[in-house]
Amino acid sequence: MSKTDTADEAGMSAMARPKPRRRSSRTASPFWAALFVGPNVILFTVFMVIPLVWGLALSLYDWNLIYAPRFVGFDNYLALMNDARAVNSVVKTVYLLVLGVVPTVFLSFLLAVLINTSFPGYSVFRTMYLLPIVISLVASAVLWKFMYDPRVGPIAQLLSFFGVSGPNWLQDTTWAMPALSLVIVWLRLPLGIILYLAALQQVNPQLLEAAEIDGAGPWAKLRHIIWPNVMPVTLLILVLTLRGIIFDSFDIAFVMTKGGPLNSTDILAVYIYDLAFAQLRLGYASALSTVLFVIVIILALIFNPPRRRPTNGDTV
Amino acid sequence: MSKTTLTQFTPSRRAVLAGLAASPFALAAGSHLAMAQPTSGTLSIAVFDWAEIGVKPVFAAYEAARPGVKIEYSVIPSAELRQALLSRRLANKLPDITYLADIYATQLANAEVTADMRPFLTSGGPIGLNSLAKPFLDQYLITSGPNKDGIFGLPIGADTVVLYYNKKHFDDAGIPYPDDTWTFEKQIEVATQLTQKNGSVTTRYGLAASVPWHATYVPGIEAFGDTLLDENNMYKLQTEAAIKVFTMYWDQVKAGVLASTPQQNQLGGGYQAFGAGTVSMLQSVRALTPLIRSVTTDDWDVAFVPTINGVRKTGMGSIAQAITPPGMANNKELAFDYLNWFYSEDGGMKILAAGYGTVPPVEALYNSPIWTDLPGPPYDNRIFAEAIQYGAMNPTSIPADVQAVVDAELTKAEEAVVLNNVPVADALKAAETVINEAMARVMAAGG
Repeated sequence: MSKTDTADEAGMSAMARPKPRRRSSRTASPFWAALFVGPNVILFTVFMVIPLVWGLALSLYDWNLIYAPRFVGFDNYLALMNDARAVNSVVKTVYLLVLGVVPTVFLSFLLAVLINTSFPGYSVFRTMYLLPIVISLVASAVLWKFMYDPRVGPIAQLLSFFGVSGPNWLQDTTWAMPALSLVIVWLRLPLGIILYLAALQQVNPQLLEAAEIDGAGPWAKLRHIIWPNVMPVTLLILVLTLRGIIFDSFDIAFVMTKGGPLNSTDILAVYIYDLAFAQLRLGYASALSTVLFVIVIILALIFNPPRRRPTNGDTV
Repeated sequence: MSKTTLTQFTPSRRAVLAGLAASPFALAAGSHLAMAQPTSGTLSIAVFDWAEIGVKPVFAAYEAARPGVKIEYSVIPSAELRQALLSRRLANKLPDITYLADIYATQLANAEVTADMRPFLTSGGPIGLNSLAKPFLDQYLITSGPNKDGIFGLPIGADTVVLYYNKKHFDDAGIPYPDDTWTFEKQIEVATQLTQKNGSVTTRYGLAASVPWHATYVPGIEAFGDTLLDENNMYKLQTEAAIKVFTMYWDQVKAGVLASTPQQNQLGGGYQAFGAGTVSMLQSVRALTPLIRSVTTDDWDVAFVPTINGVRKTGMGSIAQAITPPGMANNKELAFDYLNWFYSEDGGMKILAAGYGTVPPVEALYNSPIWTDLPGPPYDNRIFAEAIQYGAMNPTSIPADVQAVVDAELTKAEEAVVLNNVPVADALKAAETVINEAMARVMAAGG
């Protein structure tokens, strides 16, 4: 059977498989490759590679923008180990990641599933969920600062309607970080929803039909069919959210709390800014940035390890 | 708010000229007039964000006085001025003239962002080395290092901390306005009466004063007969005076009567909160008067900051302008001309003063009708000038990098006391340790 199949398959493929297109001399030319890739490479080098190398080099120096940089070797890195505020910033960053990443991934998925269905006015809901992506981070921070205002903010008003006196969200060491994480999740949901919506379109409807025939309910389909099928996108969202929370949360934290109260929202990005631009300790700030960079790389590799690209439809 | 400009100020013109006649500006006016005036060119000036409203008429008047000359000004948030200027120096893109604050004078001089102004002050223009009030000029006099004895800024205003108060709030509560006899205790008693709460949330603060601001705690420490720094230039926050001062302020923050920095930030900033009526009294400076006038609808006035321990001391400082060093400024001649015009009889200083933005840092003009006869509010303008004699300044020996740490650590100490009930002495001890570590590190690196 297998022999016949193979023969048939071989015969079919000989007839059906299109002949690989011959590359034209134009597309094979290194000139054209360089022309299209070149600008991107140049921009990437100028804005990513050079600053990265520059930052790594700077981390070995002591520099305050005024006097000539002084080479200090690994002193900045050694000093980090005894820096209680740096340790606190790492802890706060991890805390923010926990509060931010998990809800972002799951809420994005659930909301994408919900708005992936057709119901009257679903386009309005889609627009509403995607709205935060078009609002600048600083504007969002200012908006949410008002939302959290203990005197006139809508949250306080809503709570007082039920006779509850809420905390001073941004001036409370317990609540400040969850308050920030809520804003960050709100901001990062649209990207997750868009990616999940695209992934949901790719789920084979025949699989869902087959599951229904086998008696699977909505929860079982969600858990055993949809969720595994969108797993690659989940990993992508995970990495993007990790990177986004670590690097893009600065605007939110700086505008809303400036790292306070009592360093309870003093994430690494805020501390690095303070070191570099308030205390003018550029070398030390670069060392901390390098550590942050390494942490992000490690997390990215853990959650999304490099895979060889599939060729000819076959996974390798 | 009505924006008062020089032309709108004509009713007092006779009085203005009488005041200026006694000023050092007038003495040198002849030599100034003899100078050749530029007829073209572009002058770049960097100004503080909050100062923009006051300086725009100044720039417009200069352009009117020098047809063909154009001013391009950039606005820099005050908290980012230092790094912005240092970055622009590295890029060789400094403005021709920059605003600066007293605490940055030494660092910006060492960084070659600002130039020694002595050549300007001895060039025969409207002002000389003895024209500007010594306490304010001395803030820009470098006392050590490679630029020792240089003057790296020309003060624009003599700024003392005064008490802005909302007259309507006082009238509504039937409380007499603050007067010269007020003590700190009296101020807190009234502030408590004026404070309004909804449950545990303060909806209106009786008083707003940034406690981690040197203009608040330095006068207090001096009123108790002590100093902020020891003989080795190290902070001493464990003294009885320091603990007393911070305790008396932070007790009121805890009580929800006093809005310190975090509470003011939450209200949108001190002057906005005063303008919106969410604070009844605000300790602030003359430089913010144009902004306060622009946002405040209730009637208001100013009074002395009350005495502490029976002693009247008030925070004092100034902002200044300086030319950038030769070789970086594109238009040194134009910059000199602008400064000559600024300090001349009908120049920018007069316009700035007439716009409520400054008390001229010239002793002869402390009581000048240029600014004392301006229509209120504020009505009791003498307060701004009389407070100068009680001025307590932040020591100029504190490096700007350390000041950044001081501000952050004292804010943290305040939060520890207010939010976690940490004893004031313990919070100050923790702050002192970090501050003095920073001081030692910065001094070891050259200051």
